[in-house]
Amino acid sequence: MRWAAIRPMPGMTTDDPLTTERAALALFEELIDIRESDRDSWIAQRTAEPAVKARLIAMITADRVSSLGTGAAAIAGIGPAPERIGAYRITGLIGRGGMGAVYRGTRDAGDFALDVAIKIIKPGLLSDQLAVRLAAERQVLAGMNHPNIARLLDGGTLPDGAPYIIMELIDGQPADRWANAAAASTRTRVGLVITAARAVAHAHQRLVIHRDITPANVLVTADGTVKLIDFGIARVADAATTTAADVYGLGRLLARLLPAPDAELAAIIARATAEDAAARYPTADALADDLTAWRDGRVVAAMAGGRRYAIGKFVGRHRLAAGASAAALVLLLGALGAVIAANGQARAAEAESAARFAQTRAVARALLFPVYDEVAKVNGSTAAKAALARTGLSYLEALAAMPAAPHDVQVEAGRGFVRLAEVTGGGQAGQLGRYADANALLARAEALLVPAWAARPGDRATALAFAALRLEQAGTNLYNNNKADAARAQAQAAEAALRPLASRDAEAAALYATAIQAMGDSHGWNDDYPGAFPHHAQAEAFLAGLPPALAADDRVQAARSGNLRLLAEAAHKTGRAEIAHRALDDAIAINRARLTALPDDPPRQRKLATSLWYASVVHRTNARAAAARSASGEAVALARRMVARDGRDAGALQLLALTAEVQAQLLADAGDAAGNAAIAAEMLAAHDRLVALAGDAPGARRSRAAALRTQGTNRWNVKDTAGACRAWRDALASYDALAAAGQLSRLDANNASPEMARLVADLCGSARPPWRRVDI
Amino acid sequence: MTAPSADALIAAWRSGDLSARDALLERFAPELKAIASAQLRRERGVSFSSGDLVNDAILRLVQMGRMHINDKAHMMALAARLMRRILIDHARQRRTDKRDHVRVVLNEELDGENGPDLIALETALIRLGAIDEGLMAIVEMRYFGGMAMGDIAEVTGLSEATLKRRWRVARAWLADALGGDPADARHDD
Repeated sequence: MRWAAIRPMPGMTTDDPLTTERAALALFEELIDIRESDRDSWIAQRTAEPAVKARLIAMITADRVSSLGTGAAAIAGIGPAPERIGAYRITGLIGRGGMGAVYRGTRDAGDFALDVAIKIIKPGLLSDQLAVRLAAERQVLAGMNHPNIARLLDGGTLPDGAPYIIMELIDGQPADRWANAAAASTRTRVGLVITAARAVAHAHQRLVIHRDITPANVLVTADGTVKLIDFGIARVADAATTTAADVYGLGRLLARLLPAPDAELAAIIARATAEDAAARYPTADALADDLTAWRDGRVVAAMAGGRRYAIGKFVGRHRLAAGASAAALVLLLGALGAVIAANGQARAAEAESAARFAQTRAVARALLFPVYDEVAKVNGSTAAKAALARTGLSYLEALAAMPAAPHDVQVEAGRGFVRLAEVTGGGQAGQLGRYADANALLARAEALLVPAWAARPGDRATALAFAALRLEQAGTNLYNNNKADAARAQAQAAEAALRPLASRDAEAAALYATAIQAMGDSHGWNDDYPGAFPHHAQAEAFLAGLPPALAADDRVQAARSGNLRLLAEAAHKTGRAEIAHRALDDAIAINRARLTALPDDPPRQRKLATSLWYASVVHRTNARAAAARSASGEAVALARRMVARDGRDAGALQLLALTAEVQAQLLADAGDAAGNAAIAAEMLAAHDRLVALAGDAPGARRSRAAALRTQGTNRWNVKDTAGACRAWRDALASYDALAAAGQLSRLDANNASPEMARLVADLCGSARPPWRRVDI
Repeated sequence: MTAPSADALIAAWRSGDLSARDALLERFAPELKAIASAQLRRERGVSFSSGDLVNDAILRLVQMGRMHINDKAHMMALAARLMRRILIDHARQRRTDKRDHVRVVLNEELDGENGPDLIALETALIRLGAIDEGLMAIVEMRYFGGMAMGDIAEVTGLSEATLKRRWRVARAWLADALGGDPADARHDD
């Protein structure tokens, strides 16, 4: 108990402890609004009770140095330590926490001796912010070389998936313990914080925010060197609070090191730990500068505003005679100094804001594109992806909020919102399946990109961003909201925006083809295949006709395979069997080649699985059972691998649901009732998870109902009439619920829903007719 | 005489009847506990946040048709209280089972290395409750339930500004009572 010496323990006061505590609490609640400088007199006025006063002061002290965060309890189990990691042998345990454990290790690769600290994160813990933190830590720390920051030596993932980092082992003591043990002078203690602040400033310039500067993380070695450790929670933070959080931490460190600061140091602590982040020092360097000023006996900026103080300082330093002219000179100098200081501060603030802006941009871009894609490849990374999306959002909010942001920034922020919408709820691989969030994000993008597009329709980046927005909106409208007409209009807008750029580069070409394809799919989604076919044929003609350099680009290949699949579908459904087979073979060939080039790439696995899936559909319809089963089996296997990688990846679950559905049909065709039941259970489980992930969005429920409808038929055809009726009734209930909410698509209203009602009435009633085969 | 319905109990609680809250807690405890235990079992060996757990449990009750979404804030407050019980039990159990290297931590950041000891926190919370039950309830909702200020405002009837101030008072008191280890200091409102 740190303050036990200066306060009576609750429950040990002489009178009524509860009354004392209540009085102190009530006063403290009021005191929060009292200015710090006025508090002493306020307290004196409000209470004469020594016990109440003591409790009040204890709470004020506790409030200053400690506050418990908004809570969430965590329970973590930690397994046994591995014996070695890479070139390092684990020699002992340094500490454990909820996040994992930190071990001492020694290099025994035979080349050189080195003791290190190894932090191992529990694999299941790679969730939420932790994944982001660790990735940020590794990337940034690896590039950082500062004498007062513990170096990052290596990092990676253990065979069980646990990420680890290897850091320079610092043999030191926490700053406060060291200072007390060494009975360090105030100057030494201040010097320690100056060094720490300079190191923090160095990190800030490289986009790393420590976020947890405490005495325990500021170590002092035996030779007196300050070392900042545990950037374990260093992370790219919210743009608005970045540097301020560490300035606050440094201020608290200072407070901890100086139990009885003089007025100037108290002012410095107060400014560094000001409640309002804007009132703190703008940078860690500014704090270090002010501490240096204190050490050198110069004017401390934190005391600014107190003119008498400034003059006193000046007089004290120069030992001027306090004559009238001298006083006038001092006043003049003081005023001049204030102006210079103000200018300097403004310039520093401007530079700070420019730097922060550039950082924000760079981080937003990196988080949303390369980092996200990399993380998406990692096992079980949905939580990490969600964290990335959230972090990305905070950066985008900061970008979008920049007053009078330049055109390219608006476009970039808008593109970022579209991207976020893609990964949170779009039809993309690795998406998070949260449709409502996606709609809100698209609205944000719209607000930025529509004016940007109106201002500069000829600008390439603007056109691409605008088209990406319209395409994502089209996808959302079509696949999530069942609004085909709106989707078509949006796809058309994207196509028109891209047309002038279409053949210039691969990115534009791929997006352009996707726009044409989206126009086609707006027909095909509601089974209007004659309407869809010409669009898909047009997109294929465009892509096939691109110059070889562009045609070979992977983005173009990816776009082409997707369109070929839809072309095949439209051709197949409109009786163009030859075109359908050719398109499917082409799509599978393209995707096999792409996956061979990058075997573990989930988007490529997804593409290949999709083309195989559709080939199995077409083969089945054309009564080529063996070919159908071969393609379907391969597709299901790929989809299972993707779901196993991450059970919350909606894209992978959709794929499993689709491929399993065909497999279930093929097994029912072959009369394998048990095989059908097994794969159908897998399929329905995937649908259930999709509906839950989507928060009961109509698109997900529609897909589930359609699957039930097919499975009911499968059960009927393997002569399981009870199972068939169960599935059909379930499907019918879904359609009814959709209809009641006004969410039933026209197609389902005209076809599936009445069909289910008919089948249930005709085949599942008490007067059941004799079994006969049905086909849907 | 039949027991009052859950809706009636919530309505009574909304109008200030705390015994209705306790009755609700007893009624929903088995279900909430089952959901939480299932989570705890499934998540064993990994970290999770009690706030997520509470949200999840309430979502499930809504989905099961056991409660109205309009009562979410009140139900979260119940779940927060229950979560506190569960976690404390868990922590006590762990304390006696040293073979299992499990540590209970309470920390927004989930890194937990600096989190306060749950059992010490519980002791302090009981004391705080004796001094000012309202403060304890705020800590419970915020800390164990991870509830947003808006939801807590709905349950307590206090304004968000007042709540923020009370939350700060409670934090300061607890920090002092827990020995105020500044290592876990964090400013968030």
